[in-house]
Amino acid sequence: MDVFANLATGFGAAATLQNLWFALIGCVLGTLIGVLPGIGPIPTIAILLPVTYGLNPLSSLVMLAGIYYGAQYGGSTTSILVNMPGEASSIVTCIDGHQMAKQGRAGSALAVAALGSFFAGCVGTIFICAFAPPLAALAQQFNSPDYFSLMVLGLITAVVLAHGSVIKAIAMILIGLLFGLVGTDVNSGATRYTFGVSVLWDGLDFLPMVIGMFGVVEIIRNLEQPDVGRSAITARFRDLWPSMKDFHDSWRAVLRGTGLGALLGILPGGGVVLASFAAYTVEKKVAKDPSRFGKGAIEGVAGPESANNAAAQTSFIPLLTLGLPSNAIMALMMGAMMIQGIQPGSAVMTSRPDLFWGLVASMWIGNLMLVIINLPMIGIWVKLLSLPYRFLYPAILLFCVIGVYSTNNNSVLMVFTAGFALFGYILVRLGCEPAPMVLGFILGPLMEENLRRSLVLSRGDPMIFVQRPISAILLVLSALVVALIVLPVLRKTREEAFQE
Amino acid sequence: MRKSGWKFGRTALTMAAGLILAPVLAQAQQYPAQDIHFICAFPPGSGADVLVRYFADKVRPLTGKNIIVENRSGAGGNIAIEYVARAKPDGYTVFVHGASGVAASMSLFKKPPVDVGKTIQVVSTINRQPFMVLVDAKSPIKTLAELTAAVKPKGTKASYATAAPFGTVVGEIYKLGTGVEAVEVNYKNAIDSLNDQLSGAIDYSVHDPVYALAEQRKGDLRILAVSTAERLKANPDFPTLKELGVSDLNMMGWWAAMVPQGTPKPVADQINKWFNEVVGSDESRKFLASFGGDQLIMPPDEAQALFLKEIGNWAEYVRISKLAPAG
Repeated sequence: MDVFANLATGFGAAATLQNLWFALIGCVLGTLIGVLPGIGPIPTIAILLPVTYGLNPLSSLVMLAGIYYGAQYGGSTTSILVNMPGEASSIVTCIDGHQMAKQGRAGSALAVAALGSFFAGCVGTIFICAFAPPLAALAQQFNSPDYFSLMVLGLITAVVLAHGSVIKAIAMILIGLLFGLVGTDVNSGATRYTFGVSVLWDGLDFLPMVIGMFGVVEIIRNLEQPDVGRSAITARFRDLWPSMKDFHDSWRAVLRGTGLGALLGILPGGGVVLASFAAYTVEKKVAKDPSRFGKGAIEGVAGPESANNAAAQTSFIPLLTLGLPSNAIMALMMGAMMIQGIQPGSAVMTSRPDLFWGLVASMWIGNLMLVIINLPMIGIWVKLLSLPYRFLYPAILLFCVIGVYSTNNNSVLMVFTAGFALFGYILVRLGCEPAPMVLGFILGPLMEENLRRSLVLSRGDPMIFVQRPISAILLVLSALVVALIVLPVLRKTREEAFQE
Repeated sequence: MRKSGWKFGRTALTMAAGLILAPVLAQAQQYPAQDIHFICAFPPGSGADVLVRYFADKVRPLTGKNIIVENRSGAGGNIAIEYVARAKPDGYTVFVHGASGVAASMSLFKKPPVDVGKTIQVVSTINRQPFMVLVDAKSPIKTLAELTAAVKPKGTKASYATAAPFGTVVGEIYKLGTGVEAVEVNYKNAIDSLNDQLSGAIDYSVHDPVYALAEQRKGDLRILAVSTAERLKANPDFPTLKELGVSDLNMMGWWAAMVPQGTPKPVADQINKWFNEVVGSDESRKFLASFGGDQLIMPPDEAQALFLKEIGNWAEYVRISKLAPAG
């Protein structure tokens, strides 16, 4: 596999004026929503999905991907300057980042976060180049039983890696699976849980679900808190160059964070939040003097910020090679591809190399843009933080509504959006993360389809799942992952890992 | 008192009728006086959406008005069918969709939302396309007869893939005509069945022409037969099930422009003229060939007759293939 020839194809496809423009739009939007607390990449991508109908597939993916990793850059700014995470993946950055800012080292913290992210982004891109082609080649051998076992592994890993209670994560995935059952059954043509509503024959729509549960719920949650003025610590451009000591203290953390993030990004159920938390834990563990953490340790910024960006890039690998979305954002990207008539999976690389390598190349270009957007232009983003939310929310809500309605011109979808918003709010109040539910909703129907198809192929013999080597290996892996939760010793480790 | 009340009521009714009729007549005279909506029953960006938007782009300059493509997807096309059936019959709502699919909806669903034969009218045909029988290109099987000879002895141990009701019907008719007893395996999309077919888990498949031609070009699959009674100009090399002695049926998908019934004849004729002009072009011939089909041009009354006949045909197909109606 000639990586350089492929990358040349990619840069050729990504470096057209139109695609550069959309990469820039994505990166600026991503930074914007990253900086602003209260709106994250999931609702943003969901809201923008309908806009991408009119674009060509590569431009639309380049833009949506830019929003995702752009948010990883922007999120750190708010964490450091306001002590309020702009993004969930920047929560840990608050701990030491804001302390640094209080000590007058805001510039160093911002610069290390941005440069660490840039390094991690480049490495993440190389990771994709190295791992995607062999994985895609493997995926071409996948039959129905293998896909079923892959989904099983994906869902089980999602449970193990989910934040908080295992029981709640399992419950959320099961609810997602149940929502996924709604609609016409592929094998028998029978309609399930449709209650005579013909809109439900093709299943619940994805957009009302994600926009209701993420977009609208975020607005409600934020409105619950009084709109206090946020006081940002100011940072000037000339303060942005970190000292030699800062460089010296942080480069190892950047390397560790990048490696860890790249690995955790690939795992199903993993992603940016997990990567940043894990990186912080690791930094604290390996530090000679852990008591410095929480008081402005630069490693506590460098590690997690590198990790979340590396994970943002590598989480594209399972989607682009196996057709398996590893988290809710990737499920949205899968939706964006299917809207364009592209079935995500190994076929993308062979049938649309320009698309695959173009997206990879655009990530590198986008990371370069983001360093420029985030460092010299930091003042603009800080000003945005003084924007009162009472102006912002009606606009976001309006976008949510237009986005859902325009997909199908059907007002029933509005009712679904409102219903999911209510449901999502109840979940939040109960302390349940909605992200595993979306994963269950996306993977559930695929899993059921492949399970039943395999059994039709084997004429009802379940041994088909262990007779095929790929499927058998995946099931063994799943069993090992289950052991992680069930065995008390290992369970303790997991709880410790999520302590932070 | 009562009498004058009745009188008043009658006058009001006459006036109301006049008010309702007047704009219809006026519109008929100067059609099109406003933007026209093309209804697409598939989501934006899908293969079918591309087809609808192609015709919107080509018909637009002929009308002198704007054409807006409205996507109303869902419920196997039923949402769009119902929307069009209930739209005003003024020629401003045009349904560009598979007329065969609209005809089939009467038999594929337990409770079709509307009686399409009574509420929808075909004004212009667009194309006709077959479904295709496929085997792995690496297999030694080169003809349908060889396929039959290979899978018949396997009885119910043989398997085949389908991904649409049309594929199910053609698959069932093939089995009835040859005595093959293979078991049908359903897929959501044709492409999902590719790995299973290339690994040998599936003996053959019956799929739409867009997928079949793409996989044939890539060298993955081989096309053995098509479901139309006559060979197509777009791909004359593929034999038909009829000439191979499997079945006399002419199973074809065909696209058309449809309007709600009751649309004034001059308006319907105008739409027919636009579509015939666009469909007849060489560019459209190439475009439609990329979807695996031929241009289809006929006058409105013939098109409507074909539509009504297809409603009956599909009832028969569904009966023969024992498809369970959905819903």
